[in-house]
Amino acid sequence: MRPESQVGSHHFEALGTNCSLFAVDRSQGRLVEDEFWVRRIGARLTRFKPESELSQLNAHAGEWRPVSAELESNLRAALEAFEMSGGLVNAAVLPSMLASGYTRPIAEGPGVVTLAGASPAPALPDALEVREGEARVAIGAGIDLGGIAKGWMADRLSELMGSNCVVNLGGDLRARGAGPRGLGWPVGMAGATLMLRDQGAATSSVLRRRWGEAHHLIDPRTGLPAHTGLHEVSVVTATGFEAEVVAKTALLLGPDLAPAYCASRAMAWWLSDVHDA
Amino acid sequence: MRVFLVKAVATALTIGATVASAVFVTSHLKNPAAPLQPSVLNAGASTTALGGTLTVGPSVQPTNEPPMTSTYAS
Repeated sequence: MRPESQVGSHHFEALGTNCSLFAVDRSQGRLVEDEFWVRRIGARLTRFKPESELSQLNAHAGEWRPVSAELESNLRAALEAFEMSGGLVNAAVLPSMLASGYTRPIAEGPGVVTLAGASPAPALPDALEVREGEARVAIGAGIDLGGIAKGWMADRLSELMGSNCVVNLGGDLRARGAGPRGLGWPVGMAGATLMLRDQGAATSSVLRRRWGEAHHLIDPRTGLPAHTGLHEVSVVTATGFEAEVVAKTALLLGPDLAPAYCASRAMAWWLSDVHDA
Repeated sequence: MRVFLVKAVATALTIGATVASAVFVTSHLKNPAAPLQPSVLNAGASTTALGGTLTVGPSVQPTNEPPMTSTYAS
């Protein structure tokens, strides 16, 4: 074990959640700049601000719209997540999210639950097309990047912060490098501490962002809030983006299929089902 | 004589190729840290934690240290 290196840390609220940054040998000023990066990119990708790039793309459905490199990369990541998950992680569930009452940031309280617009989501490649510098959302469709964006941002920001850091954006987490003592970064998961080294972690849950019987996690197969028998799933994988996709997929698969799925895709996993809860 | 020579050379080539292949394979073992195979064949230790089942594969090291940060639902 080598001597412990100096770790800088910075905590702030953004993306509607708590964020934490840790890095070896990185000044507080640089960590504050990293917070600004989160806020700047988050402002482009949110669906809660009508002027955001994503909101503008959704508002002009049917038209090819210019998109920034960051939004383009996130949209491509959403398409990749759809492929990776066999369609279970589908960014085209926005109409169902709105019908479920998730019309504004959760801190402002839920909207009205109608479920009138809830229907099985279209296959994402039918709802979203991306080409270099441009994207088009199909008429009647809508895109929500949600956790995909947080995982993507954790991965990208960790690249910007250097070779030895942790980025935690509301539980979507990327650990890079060997940590302050060369043993990895100590990260909590389900009450245990795991040493992560060049790995990502994420938790998907139906216990938070919940109002009444509704919650934010939409099952694209039904268009309704998911009820699969699992309440919460945490995983460790190679990246933050992959962890987000695997955790959400496992939760949507339910308690019968999730263990085998996690065994094939995750390095560590925690499953909490209805009976456990 | 010529037929015997051809057979001998063919046999020698076959044995040589077999030995060379064996040496190559044993010196290029599959990476034991590859993410898919070990986690499927050896899923790791499962324990009950916080009302759920926590499984830790061989590529993740548990520790008794307090965590610096955590993954959680937000």
